[in-house]
Amino acid sequence: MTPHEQQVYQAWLTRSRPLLEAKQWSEAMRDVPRLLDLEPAAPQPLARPLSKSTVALVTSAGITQPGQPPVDGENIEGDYTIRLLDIDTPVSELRIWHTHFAITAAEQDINVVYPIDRLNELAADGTIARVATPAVSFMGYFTNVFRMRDEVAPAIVAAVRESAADAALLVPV
Amino acid sequence: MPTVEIATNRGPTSLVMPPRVLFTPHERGKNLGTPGATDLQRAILRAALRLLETAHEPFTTQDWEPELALT
Repeated sequence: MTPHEQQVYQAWLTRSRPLLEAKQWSEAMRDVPRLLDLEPAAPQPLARPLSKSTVALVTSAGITQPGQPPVDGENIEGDYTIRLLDIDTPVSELRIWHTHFAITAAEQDINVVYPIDRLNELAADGTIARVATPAVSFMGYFTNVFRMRDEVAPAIVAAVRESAADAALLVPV
Repeated sequence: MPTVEIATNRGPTSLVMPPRVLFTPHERGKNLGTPGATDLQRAILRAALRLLETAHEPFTTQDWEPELALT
């Protein structure tokens, strides 16, 4: 964050804190600082056919696996850490910490926001070559877009690149 | 890195303008549809992954329709 961005964000947080603490999310986020002057991202082409590609799975459902610290779903500013998920972890052992969407469906079947079983099935039938490991999870609720840009996005990119994936599938929640 | 999203919320997605997006008509938290609907989930995934091969223009979006499962 630049000093100006820090100032802008802190000013917003100061005036919006009562709304955030009252869980009046829409009202609080109405004037949350955003990144301006974004350009549409040009699609990067696959280097090899999809059937020969390794695909990384990235979800913002705030998921952890056993042994990992919880995602701070209660933090009114969000959580700016990521979790690396072993794709072989049984889905029954995964935990969802996101508190800004109704998680009942995901608790019944995590594939609705983290389609790891389905993606593994597409690897088994040859649609893709394999699923990259680890998968990546982060918290989709956030107030500080500058920290997302400077901390979370680079961490996700680094993790996906480290996994030797040819492409990434994102499921934003 | 080639990327594709499976998203439900057009507003925030339109602010970010990612390279490829498959929008599904489900509520937030059900990006791939109903719990246990494995055929639907696989079909949505296939449609999204196909965009990796077919989408070449910035911010290419496609709306999920059941007919996509037949292609």
